[in-house]
Amino acid sequence: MRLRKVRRAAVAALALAVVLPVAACGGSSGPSGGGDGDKTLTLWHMEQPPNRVAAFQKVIDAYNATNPEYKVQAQVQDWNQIYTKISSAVQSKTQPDILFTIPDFTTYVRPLGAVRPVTSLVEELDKEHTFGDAAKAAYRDDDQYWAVPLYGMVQMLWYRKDLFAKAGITEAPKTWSQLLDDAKKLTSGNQKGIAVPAGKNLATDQVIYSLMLTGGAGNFFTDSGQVAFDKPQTVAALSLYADLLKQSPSDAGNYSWGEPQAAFNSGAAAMAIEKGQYLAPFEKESGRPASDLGCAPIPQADTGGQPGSIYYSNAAMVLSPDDARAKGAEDFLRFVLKPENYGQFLNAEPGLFLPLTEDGATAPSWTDNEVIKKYQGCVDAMLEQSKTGGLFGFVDGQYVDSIGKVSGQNILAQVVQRVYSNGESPAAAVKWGQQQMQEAVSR
Amino acid sequence: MSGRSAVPGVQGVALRARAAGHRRPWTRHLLGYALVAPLVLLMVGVIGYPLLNTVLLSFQDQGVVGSNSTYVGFENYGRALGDGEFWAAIGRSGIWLVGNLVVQTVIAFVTALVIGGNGRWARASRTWTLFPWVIPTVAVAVIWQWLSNSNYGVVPKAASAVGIDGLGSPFGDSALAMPALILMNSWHWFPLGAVVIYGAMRTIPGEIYEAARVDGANAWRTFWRITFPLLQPVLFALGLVGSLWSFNIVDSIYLVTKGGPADATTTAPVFIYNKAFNEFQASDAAAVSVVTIILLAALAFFYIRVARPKEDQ
Amino acid sequence: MTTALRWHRVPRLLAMAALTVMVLGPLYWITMSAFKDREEILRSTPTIFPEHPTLENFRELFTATDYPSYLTNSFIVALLTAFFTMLVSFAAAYGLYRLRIPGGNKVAGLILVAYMIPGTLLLVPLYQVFAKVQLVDTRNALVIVNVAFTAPFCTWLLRGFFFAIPRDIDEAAAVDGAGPVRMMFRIVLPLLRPGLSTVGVYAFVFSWTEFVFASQLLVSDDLKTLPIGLSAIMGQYTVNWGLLMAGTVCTVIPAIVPFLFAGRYFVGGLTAGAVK
Repeated sequence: MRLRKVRRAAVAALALAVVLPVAACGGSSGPSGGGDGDKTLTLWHMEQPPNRVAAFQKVIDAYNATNPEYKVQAQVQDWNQIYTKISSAVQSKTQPDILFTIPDFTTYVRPLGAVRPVTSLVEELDKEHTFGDAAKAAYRDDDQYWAVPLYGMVQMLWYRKDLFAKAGITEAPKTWSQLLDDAKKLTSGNQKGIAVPAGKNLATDQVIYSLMLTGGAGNFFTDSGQVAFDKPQTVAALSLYADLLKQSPSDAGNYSWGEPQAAFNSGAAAMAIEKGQYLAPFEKESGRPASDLGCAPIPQADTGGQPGSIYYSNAAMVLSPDDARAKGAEDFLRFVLKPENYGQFLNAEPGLFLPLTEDGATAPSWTDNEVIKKYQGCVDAMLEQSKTGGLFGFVDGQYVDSIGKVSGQNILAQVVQRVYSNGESPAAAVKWGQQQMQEAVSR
Repeated sequence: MSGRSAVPGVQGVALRARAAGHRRPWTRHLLGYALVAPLVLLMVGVIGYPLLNTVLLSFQDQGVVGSNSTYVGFENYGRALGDGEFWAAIGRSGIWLVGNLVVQTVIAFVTALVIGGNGRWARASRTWTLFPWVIPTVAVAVIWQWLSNSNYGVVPKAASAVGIDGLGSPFGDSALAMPALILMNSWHWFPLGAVVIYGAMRTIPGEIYEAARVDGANAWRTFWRITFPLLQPVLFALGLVGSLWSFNIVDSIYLVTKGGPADATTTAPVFIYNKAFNEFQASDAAAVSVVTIILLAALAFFYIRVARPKEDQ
Repeated sequence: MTTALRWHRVPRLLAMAALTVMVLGPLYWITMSAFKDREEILRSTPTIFPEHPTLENFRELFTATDYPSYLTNSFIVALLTAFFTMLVSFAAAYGLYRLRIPGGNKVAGLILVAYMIPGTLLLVPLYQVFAKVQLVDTRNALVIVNVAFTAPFCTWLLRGFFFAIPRDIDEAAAVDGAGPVRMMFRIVLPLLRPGLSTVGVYAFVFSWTEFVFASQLLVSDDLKTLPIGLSAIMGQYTVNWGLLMAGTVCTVIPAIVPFLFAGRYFVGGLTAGAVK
């Protein structure tokens, strides 16, 4: 009796196992990779939050509604997993046709061999819409463009006007010493002056790098691609960062993106250095009016300072296996950058994703968004800041192939941690960073 | 099933080939092999081939995983064995392994003992004890960071309510990050141990306890004389595989600290992950992996020698 | 006499209290937070109970994400994984530890090797294996990987359970003329029920929480499982805490359902068990 039951269960399970894949494939709108005659392009992006997925999907639906020869299908991937996944996919020839990217990631994917240059498309789009310099420079190497710039992100100094008023500060800090003074003034009781991250992560890399830029240490490679990290300007920026960390919450040693924002919005910290994601949730999370959110350019070093901020140009690479599909992919990217569609796309995360074309910055499809309108001042300030933006490995016309190893290992963040967690002197930590980078670049 | 209806001729030959004094008929062996085959096939396909691939990779000079490479012999091994950071990572792995083993075994054992009752609490607890285990690691990692955050986390707030002030998240502190991660990981995994031990306890026939009770043995004696020895085979398996398993955990650590602050939580598997996917030295990572596997194999061999229960063979 | 008895119970009660706080404490907090709005959840002085309970987080979870699809996929993969793990590991354990095939010890040793390998480097070659047999981006690939990683451990676990079954039972059955197959299903299987249910639970939970392989081997959105959906909520640059808590609650609760149904085999049915 029992035996029969077991057998029946086994048969049922086997049947299920056979039926399931059929159902799975039949139900979906076509597997990735695509065989011959498949007219669907796959697009991988790593913007996972549901609101971004939905907004991108809307743009894609609009494109597919124009009845192009190749329709586009988006598949959302995870930033943490994409490195292994794209290696695997390229090797088994199941890579997507379009892959979203940032400059470092492009240096990782290119050696795998599937990335197509898109020079003529970028030049064509540049003529039509005019890209900012920072947007396209990071994708130019070997006299070719390797990705089509799509949206920018830049860091600002965010501050709570209500907390500033309470502390009797009337103006946002413009220099490093003002920044530090204000941070000290704003620290009292449970409230900290600023929240900067010191975890081993990209968030820390980015904030310290913004300060390196305004301190004149943004370019840490020589013209021949040698590492030149160990210099006084870097040490100065790191010293400032260490001082700021003293005015930060005690557990900053593990902070990434989420924690400083939460501290800022809950009023536990009065300032933060981050990108435009601070706009949209401010009112809801802080319970304060939008007018309490202040923004300013990143403060500059007192001597030898210059305007600057870390700037990420996000872009799309084309990895199609044949020319016809590649042409289809390019058509889609053309569609996205048209002013009437572009805003819809950017407002997947209003304030975080900034336009990087001239006509995009004035397109009603973007400016009509509620968040963009509400924080008009900050949005304009971010666009202004973008003009002086830079990214390590890609400043001053550089293209450092091995920069992915520097950002992948979070060497900048590790340097911060050596000072913050291990109590090393900034100079010693910078020296260590120089060594690590040399090692990373040499092999 | 199929074993018994085998062709008689073949059976005869095989029987003759075997020593007459052999105790088990070969049909039984055939059945045995057939039963083991699915497991072996699965392992060869899913684990064996990739492992072979890793070994081959360790003799090459591949950078980005999957890029072109050439054969370089033992060069990577030389570098791996001479790398102080690797040995430091192995040391941290030792702490991680022992810490997890001790904490989890103790909690799991206690849990298995208390959830066995017939009361309302015990019956409910048998379900909710499993909760921490059912939460995906991605969420466990974020939730514990959130609970221990100095600004809005409930743990520091609760601590300050009872007089312990200024507690921040331990994950940002080089000295506390490792113990905190061990506790977090144990919170996540202890239900597994509890379930296994609890299941094993239920396999012990009730009559044995009945007999002990008649003999007047108290609970403490009953536990050490009966429960513990009978549980040994299961504890042995759990200890062995569980240790190997926790040694190779990357996600719990990586998601919280990425091996920081300042390398304080970089265990060997995290080190390997960093080498492969952050430093883009796939072959170095492979060589380090192979060395790690050999070390673990030696450790497991030693453990089996020492801890294998006598009743086994 | 009575006081002595009560003192005797103190450690047990303490253990029960500690376990309750340790497990249910964080879970209470997660659940309550899921009902808080975005401002309250970040407040510096936390509220024990939501001041303005809201279902907003759950509404967002169900409308903005593909939660029902994640849930279905997770269930299909987890149930199949549990079933095949029980099947494969029971068969293997029976062959190794009851029929004692020659060379069995070597196989048992090899099984251990599976857990010595740092999984990191297996990902890329594994993807290639599945790509070769056209299984990438299917649920079946996940089931196969999950079973391959759970079954070896479960075989080892069952070993302990096999040794707990008195060997005389076999001999007695053999004398009665029961063949090995009948013995396996009729006599050993029922006795192994606690062990098998442990194995099933283990495999189910493994699959339910498995993230790395799932995120590697699945590409299409409509095949994704709950852990992938959950990690998607914690996007780069910003975290919606309330939504994450709601997502966690909705990942944990459904996983308990099978335990309630299988309770008879798993946690109930204590009559034959040790602790009365």
